Amino acid sequence: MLHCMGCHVADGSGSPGRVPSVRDSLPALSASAAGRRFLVQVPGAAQSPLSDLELAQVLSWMIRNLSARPVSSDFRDFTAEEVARYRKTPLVDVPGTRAQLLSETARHQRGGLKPSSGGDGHKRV
Amino acid sequence: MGACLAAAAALTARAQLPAEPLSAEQLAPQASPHWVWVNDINFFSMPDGQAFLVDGDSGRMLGMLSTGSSFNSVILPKSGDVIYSPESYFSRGTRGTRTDVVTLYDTKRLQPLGEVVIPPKRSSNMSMSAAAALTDDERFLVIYNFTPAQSVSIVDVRARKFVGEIDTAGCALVYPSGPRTFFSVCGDGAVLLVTLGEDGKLANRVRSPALFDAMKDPLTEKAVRVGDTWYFASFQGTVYPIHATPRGVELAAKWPLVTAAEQAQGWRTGGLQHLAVHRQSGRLFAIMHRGGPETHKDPGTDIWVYDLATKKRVQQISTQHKAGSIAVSQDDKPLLFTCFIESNVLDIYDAISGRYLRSVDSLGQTPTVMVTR
Amino acid sequence: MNRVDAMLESLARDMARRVSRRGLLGSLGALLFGAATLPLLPVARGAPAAKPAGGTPGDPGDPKTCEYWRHCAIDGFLCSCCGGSTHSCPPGTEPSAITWVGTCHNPGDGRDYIVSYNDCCGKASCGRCLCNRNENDKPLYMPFASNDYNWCAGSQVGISYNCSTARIVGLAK
Repeated sequence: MLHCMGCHVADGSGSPGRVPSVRDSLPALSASAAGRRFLVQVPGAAQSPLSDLELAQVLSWMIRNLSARPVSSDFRDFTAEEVARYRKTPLVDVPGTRAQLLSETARHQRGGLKPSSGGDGHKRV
Repeated sequence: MGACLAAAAALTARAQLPAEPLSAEQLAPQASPHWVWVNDINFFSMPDGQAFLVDGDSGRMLGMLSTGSSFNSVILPKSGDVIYSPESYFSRGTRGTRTDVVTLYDTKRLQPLGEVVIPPKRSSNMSMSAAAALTDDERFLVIYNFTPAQSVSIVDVRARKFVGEIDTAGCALVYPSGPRTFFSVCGDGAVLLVTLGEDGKLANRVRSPALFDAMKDPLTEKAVRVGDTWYFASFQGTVYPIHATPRGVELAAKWPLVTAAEQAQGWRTGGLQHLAVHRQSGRLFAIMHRGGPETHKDPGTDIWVYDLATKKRVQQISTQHKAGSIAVSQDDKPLLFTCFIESNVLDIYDAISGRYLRSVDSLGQTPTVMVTR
Repeated sequence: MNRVDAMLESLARDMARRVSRRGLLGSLGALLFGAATLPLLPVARGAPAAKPAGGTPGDPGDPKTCEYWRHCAIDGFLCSCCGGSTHSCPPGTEPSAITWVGTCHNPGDGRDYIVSYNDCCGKASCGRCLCNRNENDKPLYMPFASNDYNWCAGSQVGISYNCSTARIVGLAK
């Protein structure tokens, strides 16, 4: 709540055009290794004051409780060790990585998942 | 009665004053190094940002600019032939459609020459010098955006066009460090070094390792530059010299602004623009006060001056009034300017001797950061 | 003639000084926008200060004062003085969903609450009851803890900042 709801809002739905909703992207991103890494590396998570264990617990809770769709049965909670590993390599291109991951998962899923537009139409590099 | 009649007679004996034409002043073609811009965010009436130009030698106000909502600061290129000002406007003052622009002002007439429209995402924050800056080749103006997503907008000021936006997620502000290079400071203590191509688009973007501990002793944003080195001060009063070129970033040896005894007495640096440098003489000026841990924005009535080569304090200046912002002119007889956001008086000192010279009153409402040439 | 000039000039200077100077509440030098506080440091659980006047036993103190317990991390004009309250915006202003949250200790019931300092936006500064602190504040590159951002940037009506609320969103654990 404390560190994330300020921008992502209490139920994770964000603010249209300004902050992406995590409710739609969490189920998709939590399903792959690259997606799990992204969820830790995104600056709001990686640079938050939470310890590795706390961040692991918060992310796992968010995936299980804030996702718009039920989470996959083989989703395993984050561990502190996993979080620490991802945090060591900060992400430079955040929007590019996010878009790529979400379009990849859309291709793999039946019916596809449209990446929610956390942006504003302006192309960002 | 007699005295009045005598005076009246004396008056009529003088020649009549001639009628006068009406005109607008123009500034001298050559700006003096002792001119200073005092920027004002106008916190109590934020759609009405302002910047005041003052002649430090005479204490005269020379003119001003009206600069829109949530105003930060004017930017002065070395060429001196134009003034850049990133600005935000609403179609109905406080509401309606938001338009962000970089306005280019004529330096003699203080009127707009033109503007470049940029994405309406310019960061709205308490004024900081590092909110926007020119690359060293002075071709590109880099403006920090916060929506709350973090990015920069790049403007080709020669062609007067918006080039594009570059994402800087996790990092903030703009510190130029080469012909087309700048860095932003990141929340994990690293910096993000960004190089633009000839066309102003992203050519390279790389994060450094962590240079400081952002949780335990963060650096204030209010760094000052001498050559390739940016001098940052931490909340607890340590100077972090960050050497930055297009090739990379390196932290040089840190050194303290205060001795252990002074630290025990609570001496800290603080303010809105609490550092200044005089490049020629290699001196660093810092506003100091005595206060508890979270007083990194408190003003002070002491300015301590350090020799950057020896890293020793060489002078202490007592100020006339509380100072929250300082600036120094870059000539060989430099002036030291101080102001404070809760007062609209500008104080002026001899930057070498520390001697108080003069004050200029009634400059705006909530002056923030100052810019000298 | 000269004496009259001098007297008029002196009066004008005096008036300019008095009229244009702002008397601000708060002793600290930072004028800030919305919420602040890095919710990291432990909440102070020491003995509460002398019982504040007003309010109810469970929520003591006056929300129109800087000392009110919920304002432990606020920066800006108090909406309670501006036609709003601790959890409502003045008429015609829009709450910004994006903001800071802090943790404040309620001396009335001894509990720590999460307080969300949503800004009210769309009109210019209310100008009353400016209350500011830099406790736990961090620089702009740590946005989650920086009180120097205008958090109206996250509103749908834009960056015109009017005042700040201090809304309880739950108990701190």
